[in-house]
Amino acid sequence: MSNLNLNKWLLPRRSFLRGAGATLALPFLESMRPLLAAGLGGSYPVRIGLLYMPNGVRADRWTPEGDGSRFKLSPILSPLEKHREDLLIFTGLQNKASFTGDGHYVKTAGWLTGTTITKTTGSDINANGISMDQIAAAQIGNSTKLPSLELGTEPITSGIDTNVNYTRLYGSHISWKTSTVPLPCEINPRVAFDRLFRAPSANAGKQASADKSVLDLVQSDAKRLQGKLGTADKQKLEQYLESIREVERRIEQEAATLGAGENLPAELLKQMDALDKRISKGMGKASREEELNSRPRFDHTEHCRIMTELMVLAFWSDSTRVASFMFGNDVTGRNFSFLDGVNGGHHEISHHSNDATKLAQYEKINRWHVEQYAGMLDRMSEIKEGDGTLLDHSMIAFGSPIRDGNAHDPKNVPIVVAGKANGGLRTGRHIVSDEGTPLCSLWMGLLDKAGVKTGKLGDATTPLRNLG
Amino acid sequence: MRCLTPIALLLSSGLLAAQDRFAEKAAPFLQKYCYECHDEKESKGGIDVHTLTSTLGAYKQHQFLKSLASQVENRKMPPRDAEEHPSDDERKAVVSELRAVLKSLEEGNFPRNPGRPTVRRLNRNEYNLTVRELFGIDFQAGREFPEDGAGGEGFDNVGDSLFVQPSLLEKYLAASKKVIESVYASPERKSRVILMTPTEKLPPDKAARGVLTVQASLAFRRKVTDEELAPMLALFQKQLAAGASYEDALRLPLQSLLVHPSFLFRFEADQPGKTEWRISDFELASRLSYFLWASMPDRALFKLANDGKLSDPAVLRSEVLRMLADPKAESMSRFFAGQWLGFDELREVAEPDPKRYPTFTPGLRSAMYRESVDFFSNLIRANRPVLDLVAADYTFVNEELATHYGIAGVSGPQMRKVPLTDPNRGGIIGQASILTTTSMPLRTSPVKRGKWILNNLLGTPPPPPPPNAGVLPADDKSAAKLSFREQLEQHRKQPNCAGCHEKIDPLGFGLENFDAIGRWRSTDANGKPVDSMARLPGDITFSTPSELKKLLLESDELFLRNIARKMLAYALGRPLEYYDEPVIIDLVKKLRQNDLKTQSLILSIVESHPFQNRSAKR
Repeated sequence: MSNLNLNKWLLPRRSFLRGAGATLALPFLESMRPLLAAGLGGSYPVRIGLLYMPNGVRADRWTPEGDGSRFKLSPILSPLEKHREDLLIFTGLQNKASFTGDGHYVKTAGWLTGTTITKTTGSDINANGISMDQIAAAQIGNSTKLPSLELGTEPITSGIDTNVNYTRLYGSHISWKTSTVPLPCEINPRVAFDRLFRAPSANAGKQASADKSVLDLVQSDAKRLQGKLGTADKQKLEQYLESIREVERRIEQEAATLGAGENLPAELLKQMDALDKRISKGMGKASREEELNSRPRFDHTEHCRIMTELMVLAFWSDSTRVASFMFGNDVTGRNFSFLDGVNGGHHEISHHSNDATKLAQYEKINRWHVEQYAGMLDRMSEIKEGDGTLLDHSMIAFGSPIRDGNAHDPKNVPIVVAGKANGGLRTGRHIVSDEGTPLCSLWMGLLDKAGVKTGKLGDATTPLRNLG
Repeated sequence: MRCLTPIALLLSSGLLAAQDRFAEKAAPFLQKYCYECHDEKESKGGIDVHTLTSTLGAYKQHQFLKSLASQVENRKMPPRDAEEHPSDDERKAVVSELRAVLKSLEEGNFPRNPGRPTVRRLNRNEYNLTVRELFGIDFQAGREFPEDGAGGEGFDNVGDSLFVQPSLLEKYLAASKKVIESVYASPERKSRVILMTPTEKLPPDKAARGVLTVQASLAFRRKVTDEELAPMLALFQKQLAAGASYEDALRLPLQSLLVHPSFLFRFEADQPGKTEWRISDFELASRLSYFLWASMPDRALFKLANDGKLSDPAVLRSEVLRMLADPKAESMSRFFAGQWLGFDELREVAEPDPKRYPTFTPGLRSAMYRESVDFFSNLIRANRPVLDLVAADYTFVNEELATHYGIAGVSGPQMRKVPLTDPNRGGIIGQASILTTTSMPLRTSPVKRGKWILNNLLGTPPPPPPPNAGVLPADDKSAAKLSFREQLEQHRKQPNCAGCHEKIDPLGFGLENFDAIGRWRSTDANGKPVDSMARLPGDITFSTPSELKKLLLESDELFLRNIARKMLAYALGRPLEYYDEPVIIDLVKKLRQNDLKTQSLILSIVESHPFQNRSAKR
């Protein structure tokens, strides 16, 4: 009979971790391979990361020369040279449902859903579809601590854009759990860190059962309330109930993990500890409590690096397999003057009017984003998992839902995917598709490689061919 | 479907008759001359005329009927290159139909509806203030919650745009623990919450029932039911049986209140069988307190609601005045005015370049924000005319902000009221908060400032720019031969742009003497004298903020309608509908009757039909 507690003596007890104690879902470490391999058919889980860049790209400096495996990286993509063989660069994809509406909100909120969002200043917010990351989370997110992770750097933009009559909250969300529930990005790295890696309290078991009794109580009251409400109110309460169920699931998940023992690879603990310190240094606050309670306003580059590092560690520790990151909200006016030769805000500069100075600045901002992406890929390719690396078992997409920001052009959107998805993707290629090929067919292809079933997504009914 | 009452039938047949009229007299014209460019598919300029097929359709699109009428009247539409042009008589007829519909809308000649707000989750600020009121906790338990997005007229208190995602619920759970821990950590707070302890005569379950009845009723902002109490008491008993002390056994039931749907959401009960009804006194108490305080009702309001007296007009009036005198009414300034006028964005969004503007310190940022908050609070407290927002001879500064403005004789960090001798500075238009949020990181933006006046102040947003509009340099410091203004003027010469920009830009030009962080300047970034001469269509000219303000004061109707509209929307927490238009007209009328006093506007909103009623249909 197999002994489920095998790992308790197969692995050394977790050493004391300074600063950040941690409870993690079972990580995939060398010494656990035999045990885990049985459960997973000998392979590592595929992780999906989606990195959103606002405000489009300088179109003439984006597309690589040549196609197939014979291509030359473009100026904007040149920071990825080191990862050339890990990349799939796509040309010719588009999201047809985003051709209407306005220049930004329709494009961004529908980036991962492939649908046309409802034009509204707030009364009927609807993406009219579920985003592909959430389709994945629903199918492959159930065995990890978090079904998915949403990260960002800017608070949800307030107000209505009266130019176009959309609520600006559309431009702050790419992940849609259902067509009417957008998931907010966590922008505070300390909060995200604690949510992922927080220390279990001394009486974790007791705490879990206390949480559960509180949730049980409010859940039964909420169900009773349901019957008395009209449609719109009922929908809101249904969201609430769904969230209760998910938090309960997480509590159970944590309890089970605790029960199975806390075994973490020393290298991961070291990296977590380093990130913990880096967050404190970056945020520059007096105490952890202040970090938790403050709006992160620090060096943008460091902020983005910390957020992507959080994603890397979340993948490595198998705390989640699906994550998204928004470098900024759509239409962000972030001042990029911290870059040499750039003077002004992002959105403003993206409307370059073909002016040479502005185009040069726009390109620099694009390149800076690609550099951050490259930095994340560096990290992932350093982390060993079995015979390969974390990157080999992942697919990390980077892109923007519009091409030329000046024209809000939704055709031939800029999009790159890195990582081999456990051998599912044949990388090192520039794939040029027929004009008008749905971006959603790429999304379907990625989902397929992660073992996620979906028959249709937006305007696509089949996955993009020739990925593997 | 519900049977219509005879009255409803009568009303709707009246509407049908009107519908026929518009469909008969106006719709054919629109179909013939406008559809080609302004239909569902094309909707050029963001205008789609194809929904204007009935009176109701016209009501719903009322925002642009006025401009539609004047475009047709002035022969701007259909455009010159259109295939077919209407005759003068046709034009006249359709213009008069359009204006007749607008008039009947403003007069309210249609079945009225108080509206139906979607259930509102407490937003982040409301959560913090409510918890503070409920448990006397001064930390902001909800600081880790994500920002709430806006709906309707641009406020973050609209139910439709407030969600409860799993990550937020997780945070609610964590915050509830923190709050209860903090209650238990202080004997004083604990005794405020645990109002009864068991005695020989009072067994623990009775005492617990007493405590939970009070606390749950406060948390739910209405009387808790036995049905709701039962599971809380059961949980208490379970803990007690497991060996917990009386107080400890109350921990989880108390904690559950903060995650309870009746706490997190503001439910308003339906009354089956009715088309509309007066909301209950408890519901009225909540509408009032969240409007004026962004927090829960206090004990005085609860008492009046419980006694059924709150809806008495005289009581309600005196309660509103009492509430406005309370420091908690600062919420109106921070959340209502902050979001309406946009100075809320100063706290997080505004990003002046630190190298170009080294004096823009965190201290100055916060003083700028405080100035606008204190200014608005003073309007309410001192019951000043709302037009003080346009022009005033006083403002609020501390030493840092006074130095920024060049006002002498102010020392120390605390904000205080000061008289202004410079007629350019007074009013919201001269406040650094607004001047900074409507600038770019490295320069002023006459376009943004002009748009702010049209959109935020007057409620008449310009249409969106065409996709390939192009923009100006990010920095106004340049070696280019043309001045920044000259570049902007050039840009405006394009016929595509001129139509709107001749209305937008001059308003901003008039403010060019204020730099990107609101300091007065007479030379621009390149050392050239500031050219603030502005010419609006109709040959109206002005060249200083003070002259611009004079113009705004001379025709104040748009501003008054806009403040009434925005405040009504904030009070109701829902998007406004066409049926709210006559309410707005009425609010302005009453405001004028009361010398434009700020408190009178607030009172009229509280006394309005939509504030006190709810309907079965949206």
